[in-house]
Amino acid sequence: MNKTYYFLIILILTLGIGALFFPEKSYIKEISPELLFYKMNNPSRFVTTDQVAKLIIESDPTLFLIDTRSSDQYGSFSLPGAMNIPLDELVDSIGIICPKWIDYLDIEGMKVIFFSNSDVIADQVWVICTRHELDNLYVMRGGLNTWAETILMPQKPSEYSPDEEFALYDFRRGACQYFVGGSISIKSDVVADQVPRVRRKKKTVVAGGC
Amino acid sequence: MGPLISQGYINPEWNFVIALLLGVAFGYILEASGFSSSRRLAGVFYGYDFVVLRVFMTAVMVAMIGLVYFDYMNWIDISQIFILPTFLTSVIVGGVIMGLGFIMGGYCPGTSFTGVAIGKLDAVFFTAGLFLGIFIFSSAFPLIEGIYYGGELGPVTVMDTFGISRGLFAFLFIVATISAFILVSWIQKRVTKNEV
Amino acid sequence: MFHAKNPRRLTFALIAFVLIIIVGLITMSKPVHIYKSNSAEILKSILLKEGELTPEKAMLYAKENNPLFVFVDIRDPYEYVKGHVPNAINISLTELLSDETLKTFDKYTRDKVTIVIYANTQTEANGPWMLLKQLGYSDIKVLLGGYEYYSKVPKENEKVPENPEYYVESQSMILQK
Repeated sequence: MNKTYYFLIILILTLGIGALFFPEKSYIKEISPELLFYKMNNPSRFVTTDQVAKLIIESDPTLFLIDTRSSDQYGSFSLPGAMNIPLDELVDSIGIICPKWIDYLDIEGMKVIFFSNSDVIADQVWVICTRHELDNLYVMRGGLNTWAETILMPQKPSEYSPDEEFALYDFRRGACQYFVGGSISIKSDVVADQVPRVRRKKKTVVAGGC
Repeated sequence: MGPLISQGYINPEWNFVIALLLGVAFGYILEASGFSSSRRLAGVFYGYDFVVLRVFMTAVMVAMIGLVYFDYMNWIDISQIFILPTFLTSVIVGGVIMGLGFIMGGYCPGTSFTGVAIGKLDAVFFTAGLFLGIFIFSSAFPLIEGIYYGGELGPVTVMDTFGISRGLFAFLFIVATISAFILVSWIQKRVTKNEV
Repeated sequence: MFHAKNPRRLTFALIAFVLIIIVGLITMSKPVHIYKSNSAEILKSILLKEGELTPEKAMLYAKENNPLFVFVDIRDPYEYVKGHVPNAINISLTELLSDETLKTFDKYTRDKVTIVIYANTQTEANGPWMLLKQLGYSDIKVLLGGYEYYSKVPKENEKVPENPEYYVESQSMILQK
């Protein structure tokens, strides 16, 4: 046998022994803590209730509302067209976002807006989803309570307010008409999601083969 | 960083160009290693020439060490690599058919094309048979669909099945392969001595 | 045999292979911050509400200057000067992941001091709180309702309402109407 072969055998064995000591890696898709921190501090991740109302009224096809409250609360009232992803069902036992939600959250070109009663739970969902490489996620500032204050029961601005506030008030009055049909009482049949949601093509397609 | 295509560094349209380049390189290496000779290839079954085993196992070892190390160095994300799903029935049936064809014809599909490329007559016959087989298979596909999709296990790996780490598997594989090399060189020595 | 034809080729391939691996091992960079707990653990601790501190308790701890608690104000220094929890330290949000800050947090963790993070609202402190929890600081709490509600805490003799306002998520204006 050639001498080179002994050298080759020793080399590959050494490399193999080296491979023995490699630590186990986790292959969960996630962004670095620095990037998560950077995205967290970007104020544009918040949207106002007025913006959301406008998007709903215009029936923006890229809007995707997600109710992060429990399914009971979702059942009694939610925003039109919203889908329910409760916080406690978001993540599965190994620490990734449940695959059944990924199909809804990871859609190219969609604006996903989380909301809850206030904005704390929605923000928690936002942090977890953003860590797992999901993009185009927003939080509705103030949540449903601010929604009720601004859209459902808009306050008339004082006489000396600037014109913009009156314009905003007019918009809110109009939006209120749109959402509650003129009366102030809220019917629970505003609950949406009767529209069957079509699962769209995901951003990443696993490709390959030989 | 890698895999380059699924991470978006390279446009998926380049897939075929890359495949072509890799195919050319593969064919060149096969020919250069002497794999266009059916006598040489069949030697592995009769024990006088184990070049097939040595070349392919070395390629597997190098690729494996490369992937394990690149994964450790964060050059490639091994979880993103496409793993072909296993269909147990078709793997067994296909393996038997392919093995029989290999012994009879002295070529496997890839090497038969390198044989054609340098103008070997037996390789031309083998390739004609290969295309005949493809035609029969496609025509009879509805009949054998059950076998084809039988025993689906999904993309399984040895590591997941036995719950061992990638590094341990790589090491065991290397040890096993090197033992096999030593064994076959001993067999080869005995067989060729008897012939002479 | 083939190897006799061109022995140099093997040497070149070998040197290239070894060089690539050596270069890779040398240039390997270690990430500065690493997640120490996965999302399932974080979610569990959120749902158990173990990282929450009510404003009443916060006021109590701050008043008695409890050595087991340290309040971290992550608002900018101007707001901190205008009013803050007594004995709170000010680390503005941009400095949160700096070496100095993390060293301070490490020290508190070693001394078994609970870190309480707050900002004006709970939402502002929520992200930093979750991030630090994911980075492995387990003994860290967030002030419920933020500083906004802290300043509205009822006096000791007053009765605490059943569903205090600082549980912002359990308030539902729509259902009340």
